[in-house]
Amino acid sequence: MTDPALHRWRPTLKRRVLVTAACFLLWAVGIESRLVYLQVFQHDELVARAERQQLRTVPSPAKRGDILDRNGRVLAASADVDSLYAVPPEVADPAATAGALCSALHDCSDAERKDIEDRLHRRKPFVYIRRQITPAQAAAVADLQLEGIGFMRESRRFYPKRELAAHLIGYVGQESDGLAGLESTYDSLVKGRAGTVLVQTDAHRKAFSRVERPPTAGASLELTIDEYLQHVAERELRAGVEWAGAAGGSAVVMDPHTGEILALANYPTFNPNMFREFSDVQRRNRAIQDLYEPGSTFKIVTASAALEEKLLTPDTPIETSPGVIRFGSRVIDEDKHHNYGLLSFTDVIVKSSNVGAIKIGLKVGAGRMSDFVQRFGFGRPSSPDFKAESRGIVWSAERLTDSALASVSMGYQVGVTPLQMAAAVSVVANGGSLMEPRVVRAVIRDGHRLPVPRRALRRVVNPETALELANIMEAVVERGTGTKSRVAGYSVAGKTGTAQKVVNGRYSNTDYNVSFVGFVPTRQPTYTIVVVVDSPHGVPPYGGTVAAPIFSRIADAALRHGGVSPSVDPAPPILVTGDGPRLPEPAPTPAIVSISHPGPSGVSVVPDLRGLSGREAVRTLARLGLSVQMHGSGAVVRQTPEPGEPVERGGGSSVWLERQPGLTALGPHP
Amino acid sequence: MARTRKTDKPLFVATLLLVGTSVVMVYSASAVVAMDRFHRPNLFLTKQALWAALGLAVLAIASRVDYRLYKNDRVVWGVLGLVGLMLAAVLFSSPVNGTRRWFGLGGLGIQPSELAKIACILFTAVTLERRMHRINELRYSLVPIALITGGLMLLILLQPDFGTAMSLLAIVLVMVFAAGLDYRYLVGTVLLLLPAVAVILVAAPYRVRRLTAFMDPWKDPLGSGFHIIQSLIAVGTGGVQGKGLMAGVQKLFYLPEPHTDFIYAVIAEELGLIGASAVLICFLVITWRGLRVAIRAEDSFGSFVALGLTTMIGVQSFVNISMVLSLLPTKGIPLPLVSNGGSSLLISLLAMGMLLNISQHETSEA
Repeated sequence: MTDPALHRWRPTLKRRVLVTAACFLLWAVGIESRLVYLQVFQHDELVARAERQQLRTVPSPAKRGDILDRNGRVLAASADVDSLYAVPPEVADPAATAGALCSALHDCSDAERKDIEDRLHRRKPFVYIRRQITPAQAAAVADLQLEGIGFMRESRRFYPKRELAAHLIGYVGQESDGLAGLESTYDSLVKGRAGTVLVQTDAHRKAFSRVERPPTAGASLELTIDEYLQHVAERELRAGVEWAGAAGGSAVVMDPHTGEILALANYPTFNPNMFREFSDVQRRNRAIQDLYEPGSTFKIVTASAALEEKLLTPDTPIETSPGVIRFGSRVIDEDKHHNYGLLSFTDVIVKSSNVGAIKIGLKVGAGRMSDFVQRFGFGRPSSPDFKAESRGIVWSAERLTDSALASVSMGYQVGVTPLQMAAAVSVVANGGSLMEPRVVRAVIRDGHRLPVPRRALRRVVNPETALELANIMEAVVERGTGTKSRVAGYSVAGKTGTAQKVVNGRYSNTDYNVSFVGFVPTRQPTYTIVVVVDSPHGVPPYGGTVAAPIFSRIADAALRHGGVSPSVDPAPPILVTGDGPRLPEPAPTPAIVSISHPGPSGVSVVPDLRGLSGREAVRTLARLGLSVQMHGSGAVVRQTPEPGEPVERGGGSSVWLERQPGLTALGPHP
Repeated sequence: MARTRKTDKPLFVATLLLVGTSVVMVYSASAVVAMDRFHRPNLFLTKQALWAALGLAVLAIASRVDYRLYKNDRVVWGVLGLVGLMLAAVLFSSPVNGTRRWFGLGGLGIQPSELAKIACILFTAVTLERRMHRINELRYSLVPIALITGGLMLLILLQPDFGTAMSLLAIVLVMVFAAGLDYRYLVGTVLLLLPAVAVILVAAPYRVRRLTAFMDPWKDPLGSGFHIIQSLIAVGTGGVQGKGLMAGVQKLFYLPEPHTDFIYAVIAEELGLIGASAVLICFLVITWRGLRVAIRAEDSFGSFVALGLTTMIGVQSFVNISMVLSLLPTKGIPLPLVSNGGSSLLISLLAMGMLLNISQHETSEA
């Protein structure tokens, strides 16, 4: 039976097995194609899918850069703090966990415990328990070793100087986003780039590996602000505002040559460490956001237009009788119904004659007036450092009727910010250039300091015009409306302003914006200062009575702090021979070193300070606009920059002092 | 005529490669699961290595036992009887994961259904050798085979183990087909089986779910499609190079049974297209050499046994891989020689040993 089969089975079986083999081969080809399809062509898509389910991305915020004053003192800094989070699916007993957490946190109320318990009940992979806890709380919670509870490093912003420069610096929200001020304007720079922690999880959502892309720390900002001047400005502004029973105020201190803002104060103010507890009124940066009608301080613009266009000279007589001027039904008169009679151009400004200013304005004409208003920088944001800055209100030439022109001539019908006013006054102080106001002096990134270059926006008036205006403004303080702005030992140039506020669409007879703008010392201006006070009540509401004293006190402190040599009644030089004609000249200092005056565009060189006393060296350098670091005591033996190098205003310098036997300091007053 | 004592080297090498891969990959796939479940990461590695050693010993013995010994009726019926008893006995064991498949044997569980395949192959081969010349007379040749196969399948389905029952059926079908069964009957059988399969599928709803999941896994990504999606993600993320041994992620509770049914997904994820293709090629080599042995066998019994054993390994491996790649519905069939599981490995290596022995008795006639 098997024998016959033996002959037949093999061919059949061979044929059929080959068919089977072919099937297997086809199948294998199918499998291989599928493998290639999945692993090569579908690879990216499936990787993305895998990451969606396997990866949880937890952002790790970058450390925000510090904000420093011009001398490196910290105004805003960030510190790492722990935040507490939970992975609710991993928490077995929410009630017990919430209870344990609460007792570890020490300061949590029953309501918060309930809230935490509720959050632990949520079926979410991630909930915050509490943000930004103290190290002690973190340690207490860590000791509990609770399942499903974790810590996250977060960056928290601290403002160690509290209210100091609060409006300028601004504040950041919980997610490390700058919400106001420089924190907002330079947010992308200061914030740095957030890193991520990729947590790879298994199907039970347990993390088993973490890949960290480290965050890039934010850059630090070095401000032009001088902490001390800022402090003084805030202190004096606050004292002045409170004395005057005013609603608020602003003060700006600027270096007229560079546009650097040395102080910018507002009152009322707030503490940025707890900014949420303050109202919008307290958080508003009045100096850049609030528009006010500048009133008489704006006569500087009117006057500069007339002088620059050579329409009038400081001595040109102007008839202001009868103290009234009419435009149709509109009557404008002088303050307190004065009749000043015939005044010189200078005295129009000195006595702040409205009629005189209007006559000057009419002489200038709408076109030129409008042109000068814009050249002085009004009507547009003045600085890129401020995001929230108001542009101001400026009427175009076509809309300036004689009546409107009259208003503009004496500072009405224009809306300006204190900052714009400071930039405009600096034009007069620095010899005619409009400098862009700046608060950021340098950006420090990865240890490299990148200075922000100063920018001269345009030449507004010629140096001669600026000098004439400075003389007029000096006269305002010497014998005009601004006498209360005087600073002992220094010559001051300034202008008062008192403007009725518009309340409910009408000019109020009770509410005024009073201001004082000016610069010190007049011949070598180091500081431009603008003080604006909003609605003083209970005291005579004038720029000269309310704002000028504040100006004076800020200027006084600033001049001393800056080591600026007195310009009025300086200590008399001992060797005076009958050199009569030179005496009335307001000689800056009789120093034995000759200092070339840093003109508006001129470059001066660093004098040889060797042999000078420390105090004298500092004064000399400060006058050149250099900050000084002193090493040792005695007489100067070495200095940087070297003698003869060009002066870089706002730059730094160092002097090394030594007490050498037999060599006493060669001061100017032996 | 017969060239003796010349074992099939490629077959042996491919088998060894797969067993080696098994030990490594079972460890890689199971370490975390073992740690999670038993706090012993090496648990499955130790067991699998032990089984592999035992299995290779069995292979060595089987390759030296003359296969013609199995032609003996007493051996065939003895084995069949033993298997039948074990299959019946296992039904009274305590269920594991809802099924009764394991038979405790000195702490190591064995699955009688694995042995049932060998028994069935031997019986079918013996029957076909004697009756294949009248293969198309159904009552004479096929009914006995169908009865025995059907009986074994029934016992296996009672466990229930649908996958093993189906592979048993596939093996017998291929053997009967090779015996020269007219294509008409094959088509007829398939048509007859369809309603039966349908009934079985409907009777157990989870099978229907598995089936629809395979058609469109993305329809229900968190439910019935979850496992197959995880498998595809594992394979796809492996790419060409793979993530590297032990570096896979999908085995971390995303894949069901990463060390058994879905071990090929872990291989594809960690060893990439290169590794996955290599494993596939090993199985292809086994199938090719096995079928070659079947064609060249000294007698028709050897030929049928070789065919049956080859089909057993080939069909199961290809089905398992197709399942992992979502070419077939998920059916709970392990990857022979590779998946974790003692009795499966043991029986597979026994089969390879027998196959190697048949290869030693090749004829040059073919």
